[in-house]
Amino acid sequence: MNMSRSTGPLEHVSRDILIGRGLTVGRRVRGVDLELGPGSGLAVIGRSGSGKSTLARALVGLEPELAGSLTLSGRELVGASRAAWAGLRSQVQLVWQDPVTALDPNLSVRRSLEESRLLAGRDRFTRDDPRLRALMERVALAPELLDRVPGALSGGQRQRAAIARALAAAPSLLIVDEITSALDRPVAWTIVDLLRSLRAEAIGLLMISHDLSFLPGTVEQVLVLADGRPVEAGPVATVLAAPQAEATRALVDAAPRL
Amino acid sequence: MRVDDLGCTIDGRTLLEAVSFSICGGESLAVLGPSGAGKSVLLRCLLGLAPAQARVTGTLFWDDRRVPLADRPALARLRGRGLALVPQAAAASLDPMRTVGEQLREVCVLHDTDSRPRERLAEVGLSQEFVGRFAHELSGGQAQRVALALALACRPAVLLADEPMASLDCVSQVELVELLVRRCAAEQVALVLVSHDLARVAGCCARALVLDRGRMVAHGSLAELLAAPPEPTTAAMVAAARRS
Repeated sequence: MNMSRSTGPLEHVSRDILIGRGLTVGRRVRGVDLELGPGSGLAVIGRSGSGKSTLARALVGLEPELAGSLTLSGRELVGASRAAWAGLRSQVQLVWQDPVTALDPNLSVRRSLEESRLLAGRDRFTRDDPRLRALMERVALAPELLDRVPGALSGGQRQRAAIARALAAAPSLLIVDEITSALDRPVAWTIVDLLRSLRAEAIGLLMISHDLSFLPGTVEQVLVLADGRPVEAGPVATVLAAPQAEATRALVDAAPRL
Repeated sequence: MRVDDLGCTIDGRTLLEAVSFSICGGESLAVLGPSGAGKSVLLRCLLGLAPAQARVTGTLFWDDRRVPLADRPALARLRGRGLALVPQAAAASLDPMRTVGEQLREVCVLHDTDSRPRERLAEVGLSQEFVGRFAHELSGGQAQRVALALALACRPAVLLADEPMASLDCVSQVELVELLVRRCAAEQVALVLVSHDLARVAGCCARALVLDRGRMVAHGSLAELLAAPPEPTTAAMVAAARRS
């Protein structure tokens, strides 16, 4: 299945476009097509166990069983060396679901940001680099929190710190895996607002969620997975207003409403 | 059950202050509030399971009895037939070494209730094959159902459910909330449902209590709280639940 936007032959695609064709991870994800560029926003939705997180992990090279084709800027990554995948991580960053386990408990936020920068192969932050402060302000965290360890932050602050850690790598694409599910709803909305502001900075976003209320206004396209297979894809407004697949209808019907 | 002036402090830090409410069999009460408001601590205080260093004050009126909330042994005696808990992390609350059936039988023996694991599982929509399953063989939704079956197997008067849907996908959340409400109504069990998801509990609880930083900031009919939030915490929750 193709997403609605088409691209030309791979050798002509512009930089930092991630294209998956027939992505398969063992029996957990089968035959997923997707495209993600710096200006695009895609949500992957589905019930627990539908393969959403497996797909997210596969897109950053954490699933050895990955088959099919995955290219970044035209370069094939399936079967590529660890070095090739490491190169991808400076451009594609994953933010994990659980902010408690996603950050090293022993590292201050500052050290986490520095480490992320280093791992992405970008120039190092200096001790009082103004970019550290700027990163904190970008995720609406007080710069004073730079020297706190994750245990001294609230859930929402930890998730912001995890997003700042991803942004420290200066990625062009961000993959966020259910990053609001551990947060209460008012705090969850502040994180969604942050994601929207990052979209405005032309960062591509792949958002995994089972909560559909966060999608409109955050991403344009949606891909629905059921039992690891894509069952529906299209513009968010169309898919949510008139779901075709049974799995999509179940998710739309179960969305909490007041 | 009536809770009067419940307070809880740890090392001089106030976790709960002046919380009072009552609930009867067949009723349902939502306990709402942001993370860190004291919702889970409230349940632990009622169960006599507050952290060891905590100082708990207040009184629990149970039928005609008066139980000081500081009296942990008395509260322990109420656990099971009086108050039962459906915990947040159901899978972690199950014994990893024993089957679902063995755990159900143990609960029934401990609380001297009717021991028929297959029927207890059928009540929560799980087939007979789950009797022989271990915790690691259950999905998140199935583990929550097993935890509910274990709590109901005590035949409690009051069921305390601590964010039982938090780790489930939205389809499973709807199924679990419907199941909770249906089972409690069928057995005339009072349900205290802790949640931070106002929209999810709005349809199933008649009354709500809102906590913020350990204080009870609102209490009353959930419909009225939704229609006219009396204070900022409730207003913020209603606004976040309505936003899309």
